[in-house]
Amino acid sequence: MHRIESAIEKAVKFRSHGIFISETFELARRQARDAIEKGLNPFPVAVKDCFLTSTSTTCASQMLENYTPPMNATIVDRIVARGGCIIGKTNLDEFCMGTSSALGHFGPVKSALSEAMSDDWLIPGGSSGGSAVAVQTGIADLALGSDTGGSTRNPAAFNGVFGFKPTYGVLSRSGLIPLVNSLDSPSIFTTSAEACWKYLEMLAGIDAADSTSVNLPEIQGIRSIEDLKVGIPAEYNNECLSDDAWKLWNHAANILERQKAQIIPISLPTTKYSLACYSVLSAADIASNMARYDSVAYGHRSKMDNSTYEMYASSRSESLNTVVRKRIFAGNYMLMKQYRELYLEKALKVRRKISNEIQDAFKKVDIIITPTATGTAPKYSELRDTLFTKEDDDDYFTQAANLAGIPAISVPIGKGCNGLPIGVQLMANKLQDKTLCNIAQLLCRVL
Amino acid sequence: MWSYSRRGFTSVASATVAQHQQKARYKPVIGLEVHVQLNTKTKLFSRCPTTDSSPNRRVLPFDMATPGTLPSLNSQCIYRALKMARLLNCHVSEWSRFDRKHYFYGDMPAGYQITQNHHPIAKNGNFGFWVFDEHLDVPYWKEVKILQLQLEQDSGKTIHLPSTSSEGGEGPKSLIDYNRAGCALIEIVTSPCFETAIEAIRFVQTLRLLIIHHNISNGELHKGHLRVDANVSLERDTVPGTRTEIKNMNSIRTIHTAINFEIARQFEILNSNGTVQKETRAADQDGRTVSMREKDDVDTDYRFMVEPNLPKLRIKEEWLTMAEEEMENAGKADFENLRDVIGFDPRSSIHIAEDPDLLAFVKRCIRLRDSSVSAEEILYWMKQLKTTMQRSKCNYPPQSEFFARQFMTLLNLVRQRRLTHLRVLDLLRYYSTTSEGDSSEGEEEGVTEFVEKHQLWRIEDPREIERLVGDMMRRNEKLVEKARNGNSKSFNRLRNLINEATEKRIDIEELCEVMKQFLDQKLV
Repeated sequence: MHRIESAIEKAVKFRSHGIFISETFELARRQARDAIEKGLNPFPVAVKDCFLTSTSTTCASQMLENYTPPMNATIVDRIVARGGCIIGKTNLDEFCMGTSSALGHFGPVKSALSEAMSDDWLIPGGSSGGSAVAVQTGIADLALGSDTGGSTRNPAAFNGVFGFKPTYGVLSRSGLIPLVNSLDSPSIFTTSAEACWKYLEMLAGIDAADSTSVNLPEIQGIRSIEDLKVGIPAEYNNECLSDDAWKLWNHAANILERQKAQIIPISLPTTKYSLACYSVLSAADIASNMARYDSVAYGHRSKMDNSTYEMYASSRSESLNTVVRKRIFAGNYMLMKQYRELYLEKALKVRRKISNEIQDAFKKVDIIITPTATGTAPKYSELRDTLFTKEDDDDYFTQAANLAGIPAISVPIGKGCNGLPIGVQLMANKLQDKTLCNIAQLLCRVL
Repeated sequence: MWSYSRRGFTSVASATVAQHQQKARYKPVIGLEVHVQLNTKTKLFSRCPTTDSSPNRRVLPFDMATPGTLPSLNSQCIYRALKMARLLNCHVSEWSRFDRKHYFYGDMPAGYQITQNHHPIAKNGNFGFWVFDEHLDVPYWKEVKILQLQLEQDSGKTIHLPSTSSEGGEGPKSLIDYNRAGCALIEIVTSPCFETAIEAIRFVQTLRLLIIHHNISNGELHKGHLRVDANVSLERDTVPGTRTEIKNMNSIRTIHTAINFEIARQFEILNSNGTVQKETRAADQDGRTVSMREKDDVDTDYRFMVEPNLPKLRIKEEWLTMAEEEMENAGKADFENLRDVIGFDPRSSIHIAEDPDLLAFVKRCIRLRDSSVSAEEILYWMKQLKTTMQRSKCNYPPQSEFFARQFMTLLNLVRQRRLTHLRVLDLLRYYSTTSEGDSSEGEEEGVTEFVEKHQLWRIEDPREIERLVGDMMRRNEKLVEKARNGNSKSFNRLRNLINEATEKRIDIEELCEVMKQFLDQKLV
C-alpha cells in the first residue's frame, strides 16, 4: 500500500510534465486493497491511453475526449489480476502517430530529465512518451506501452529505462486501439531486463479475443554470454547516427566480446527500405482503422450536421490532428483500386524481404545488436524547426523489428556527452523473448 | 429454342406482335446475389447472441466497432458455409481469408464490412432446380453456375423518421439499431445465367427450402433472412447490354415483379434508341424499380484490404466430414421427398413444402398412404377438398390426424370403386366441415363404419342398377320422352333424380350409360 501511495505522491509532484491524461488514484487504491486481500503484492502501473480501461480512454485525441469504453484491454485485466494498480492513463502522440509525444490534444509530455518549461522542453520520445517518463520518474514499476515502429524502444532509450517489444502476438492486442494491426505489439517499460521478463510472463498467454495471439514456448533461456553469436549489421551505422550513439553501440559490443561472445559483422541491406515500407503499410491500416470514428455511436460529434456526410466530415476534421488526417488521406490513396498494386502490394513484398533477410541473419547469429536511436533526446524546438524529420531518422533503427515480428529490447547503455541517456537495441528471433531478456540482463550485469 | 414470350414476361406489358418480334431479339441476362442470414446462436465475429430483442440489446463492444476490439470467427458459421458449399456443389477452398470493404454508412459502425472478396470460402459450384410456371406447358430443369460463396457481416438497421410537423417540432431523425450488425451472412453469387424472372424466383424458392432443411438459415423472408440483389441487362444478338442492379429484395413476389419490370423498362429504353444507365435501383412496394443513387456510385471503390486481425482460414478435413455427415443425417428435404419419392410434380412439391399447414396435412396423408395411391390422386382429391371447404368457409387444409385418416380411407375406397365419386365428395364435405376442431376423436365415426351404417357402398350389381334406373324411368315418362328427343336438361334432371333416390351410390358414368340404353330402348 505504501508503494501505491508514494507512486501517487510522485504522480502529483510531476504533474507539470504532462505524463498522465487521466489520473486514477482512487482506482489504484481500490486495486491495492483488493490485491492485498488476495495475498498479492500491489505494485503501481501506468497504462498508455491507447489501451481500453473502463475509466476513460482518449488516445490523446479530441475524438475520444469524453469516451468511456465498455471494457478493459486483456493485458490490463491480466496485470490487475496479478496485483497491478493503475495509477493513471499516460499521455502519447495522438492515436500513437509520432515519436515526440508533443502534439496530443491534451498537451505535450515533457521529459523529467530536465526542468519542464512552458516554451521548450526535452522530448521524451514517443509515441509512448508518458509511459516512459512514468517509469523513469519512479511513479510506476511497470508501464504499458505499445510499439508499432519503435514507440516503446525509442522513448525507453531517451529516458534511460528498459523498453521491451515482445514477439508479435505474444501479448494480446484485444483492447489496444490499433495503429497498424500487423505490427502493433503491446510492450513493457520497466527498470531492468529481469523485470521485463517477469512482467511478460504475467501478461503473456493466448487470448480467445485475439485470433493472432500465440503462446510463448517453454524455452531454457541462457545463463552465459560465452560463445554467443552477436550480429552487428553494417547498415545501422548510417549518416544520421551520432558519435555518442556509435561509441556506446561499440562499447556494448566490446563488453560482449570480452565476455567471450563472438562478434559477427552482418549485412541487412534492405533495412533502409523499412521507412518507406512502413509508411505505406501503416497509412493503409490507419485509413481503415480510423474509419470507425464517424461520430455516430461514440466520439466527437460536430454541430455541423445538415447531412450525414457533412456530420462525418466535420466531426473528423474538427477532432483529428493534422498528422492523423494526413495519414488517413495517404492510406485511402494507397488503398484505391488503381494504386493498390503500385504501393500497397509492393510494400507487402518489401516487408517480406526485410523479414526474410532478418530471419536469414538469425541462422548465423543468436542476437543482433544495434543503436535504438540516432542519439540522445532532442529538444522540442529542434524537432519543430526541422519539421519533425528527425523522427524518421530515429524510426530507422526500430521499424525492422516490427516488420519482422521479432522481439526487441532497448537497454540503457550509458550517457552521451550532454549527460542524456542512450540505448542499444537487442533483437532476437521470433519467440526467443526469454533468450533476449537473459542476454540483456547479462549485458547489464557487466556494464 | 429460346423464345421470349414462352417463358414468363406476361405479367408486365401486353405486347403487340411487332413488339414481340422486336423483343425476341433481346435476351434478358440476370445474375443474383443472395444474402442468407445464418441461424447461428451468436454473431459471425462476436459471442453476442442473435435472439430477437428490442433495439440495441444485442450489441457487444465489437458489434458497435468499439476501438481496440477484434474479430474472432464463430466456428458454427464455418460449418454452415461448408454445408452451403455442398448444397451448391461448390469447390471448398483449402484456405480462405477475410477482407475489409470500406464505405461509410450509419448502420455499419466500423466504416467497413468484413467480407470475403478475393479468397472466398467456396467457389465454382452449380445448382439444378425445376422451373415451372402457369405459362409453361411442362416444367424444365435448369442448372445455374455459382461463382462464389462468401462469409460476411450483416449491417445494422436504420429507421428514418420524418420531422415532426407540430410547431417547435423536431427535424428529421435517423435511428440506428445495431442488433443485426455483425450477424453472419453467406453471400451466394451466381453467374448471370438466368433468362427470366421465373427462373430467378424458382431458384430462390428451391434454395430457401434447402437451407431451412439443412439448418443453415431460418429462411424467413419477412424477417430478411434472405435478401436478393439482381443484376439485369438485355443482350442483343449476343452483344451484352448495360446492367442495372436491383438491391435488397426480400420477397419472392418482389423479385418476380421487379425483374420483369426492369426487363420491360430496359426494353422500352432500348426500343426507343435510348441507353440504359448503369445504376443501382430499388424495388418499391409494387415491384417497380426506382433509381437509388447517382450513377457514378456504381463504380464505388471499396478500397478492399485484407482483414489483418484474422489469420487465414484453413479448412480441416474433419470439418468437411462433419458437415457432410450432418447433411446426410438430415436426409432429403420435404419437397425433394414429395417430388422424388412420392411422385408429386415439381410445382406441387414446392407449393406444398412452402406452406407448413399444407405440408403437415400431406405428410400425415403420406404416412397413411397405401402405395397404390398415386401423388396425382392425392392432389386431385386435395383440390376437391379445398373447393368443398372454401364453399363452406372452413379452413383448408384440416389439421386433425383423424381427418387425414378418413381422407386416405376415402381415396382407397374410391380407387377400389367401393364408393362413387359423388359419394366421396359428400363424405369429404361431411368430414371436413364437422370433424375439424372436434378433438374428441375417439367418439367419431370413421368412414367405413359410417358408410356401413348408412349403407352407402357403391351399387355394383348391374341388374340392380338397371332395376333402379328402370323404376325411375317408368315413373317419369314425360321426362324420358323429352330426353329421348335430345333434351339434355331433361336427361340431367332424370339423372339427378336417380342419384338422389340412390343416395349417389351409382357411379355416374355407369348411370349415364344405363340411362342411355333405356332411352335407346335397348333396355326396357
